[in-house]
Amino acid sequence: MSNEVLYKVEHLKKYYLAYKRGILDAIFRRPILYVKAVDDVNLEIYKGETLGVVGESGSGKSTLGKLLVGLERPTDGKIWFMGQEINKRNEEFLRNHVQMVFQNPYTSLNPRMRVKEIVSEPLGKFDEKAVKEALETVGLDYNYVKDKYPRELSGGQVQRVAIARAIVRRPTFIVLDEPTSALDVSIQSQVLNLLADLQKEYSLTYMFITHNIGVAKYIADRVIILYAGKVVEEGKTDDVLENPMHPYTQGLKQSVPSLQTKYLKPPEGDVPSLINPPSGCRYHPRCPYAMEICKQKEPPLIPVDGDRKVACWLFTPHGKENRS
Amino acid sequence: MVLLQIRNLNVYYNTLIGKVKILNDLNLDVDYGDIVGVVGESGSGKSTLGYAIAKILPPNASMTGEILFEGVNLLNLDEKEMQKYRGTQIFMVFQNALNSLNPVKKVGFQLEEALKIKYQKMGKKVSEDEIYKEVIDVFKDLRLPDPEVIYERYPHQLSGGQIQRVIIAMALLLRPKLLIADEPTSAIDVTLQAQVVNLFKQINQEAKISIIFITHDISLAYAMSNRILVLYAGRIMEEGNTEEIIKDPMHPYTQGLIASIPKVSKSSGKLYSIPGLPPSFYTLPAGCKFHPRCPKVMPICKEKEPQEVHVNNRRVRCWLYE
Repeated sequence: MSNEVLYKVEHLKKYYLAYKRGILDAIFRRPILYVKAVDDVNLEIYKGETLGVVGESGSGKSTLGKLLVGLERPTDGKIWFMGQEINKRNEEFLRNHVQMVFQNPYTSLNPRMRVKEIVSEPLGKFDEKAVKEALETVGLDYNYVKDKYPRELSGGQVQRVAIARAIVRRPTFIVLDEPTSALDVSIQSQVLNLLADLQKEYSLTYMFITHNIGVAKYIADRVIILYAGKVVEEGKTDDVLENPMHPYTQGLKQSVPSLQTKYLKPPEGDVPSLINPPSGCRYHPRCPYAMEICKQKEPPLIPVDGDRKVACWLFTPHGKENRS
Repeated sequence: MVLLQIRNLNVYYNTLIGKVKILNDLNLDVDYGDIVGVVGESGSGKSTLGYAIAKILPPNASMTGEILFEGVNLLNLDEKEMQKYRGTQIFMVFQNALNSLNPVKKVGFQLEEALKIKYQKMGKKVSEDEIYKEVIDVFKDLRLPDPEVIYERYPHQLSGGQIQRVIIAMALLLRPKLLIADEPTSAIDVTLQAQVVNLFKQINQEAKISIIFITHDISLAYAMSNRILVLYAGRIMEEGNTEEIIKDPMHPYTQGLIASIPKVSKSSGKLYSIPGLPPSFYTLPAGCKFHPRCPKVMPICKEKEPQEVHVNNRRVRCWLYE
């Protein structure tokens, strides 16, 4: 891990239209409703690190991944990659350096292509040497898998093919969107070991999206916790997941079943609507420490001791005044 | 007190290549008030076990052995008699709860329907108003927000966690003696999963419903159950008290499952992983079914299959303990 910044993201927003607008909606001037999937996210990704992104479904973690690899264009905000600002004109440059691995390998690989075709597709031409090397790097026997279709392989093997496809062009950065959540535990640890080895060998930078805190603890150097499209906590993995500061991170940690405790203490209530998120802090309806200010004003993401950041009024000087 | 006794249960599937044995000589007792966690990788036969107890296996399946539910052998019952048990005595919760509700009927209507059938079976006459009140009361017990509003909703208008709670509401209305939950939380988020797990524990304590909880996540089974059953290739590998199994797993497969859970960071070394893949039921290895992946394999493991042995109030199928 170095201090060289690979990605810099400022005020990144992605709004989707909640409903398709017809002509009548325009005539009657019905308000335009947006789903605020990613709302004002700032972050930096350093070269060679693994940034874990943890959150529930609907927290915007997959959208953030898609924005970074250029699968979606941001509604607002700026992305710098290797010092260059990314816009429509230099998307090609970004796409040459980044790759993505998706959650379900059976749906992200073309079922009518053979493994060797799938892996050679990003190259634009069939290069047996490169394909063979990529497949062998991920621990598959080239002669055994090359002519097989994805359906003929097991879940763990197909996910390896998806990883081989991602590394065949030697990218700088890979977004891994829950690559192990469809796999059994024993296979999950094989894939996690492989990813850690690949990172060392090719000095890759990862963004690892997951809802599993145990997996994040293993693979990530730093984590960000997303809630309803916003970053609520950021910092070194051990700090954040061992001693969570934000009440949401605490609730998340106590919801995860582990072999240390038999009792789970989840936060109450449901994930908020992203069309009409709660006022002030988005977590306040579920938060056990909610104060008056939480309902009115949104807490900023402020630094607390070193490289740790948290967005909660409990940790701001202003908030402390309000508590008393 | 024993609620369910499974004796020498074998389940076969007829396929094009012939008869395949899925569950092999399975014995299990479930007491009143028990929560049994069934753990295994995909393809270990854990869902088949759930389906076999409720007798909803696909038509190409056949069973031998005994499933005694309060002394009645379910395998001898015909479809009509079995109907009396399903729902009101044995209730099943599936992985995707949305698929187990009718998409074109309101949630409230479906719960009322279930309740009416229960009263019909009991031969009791209950007025519409009382049924409505009972449904709303259960919604309140489960802390569903605005019960009257939820009552009027269609399944697709509810979130994943709410749907799962509606299904649990149905279970609470019917008060079955046995609830089989087949991966009920794998389609929902961790915080909701924890809420649902706590709900299951609550209905187990308050309504005295025994639960068979099927999952692939051994830490979830630990949080949920008081007994654990580890299945591999359709065989019980280890069975016993949850606390004891987690603290001191005896079978190498259970040890492997526990060691595979990521706990540390990548800087402190590699994660343990069980080498290889679970076997296919068409080509099961000879001897112990786990021997090709086992770190403690001995010559005898490759030749003869171990029998279940009782070691301090636990059952293990491994040559290490014979």
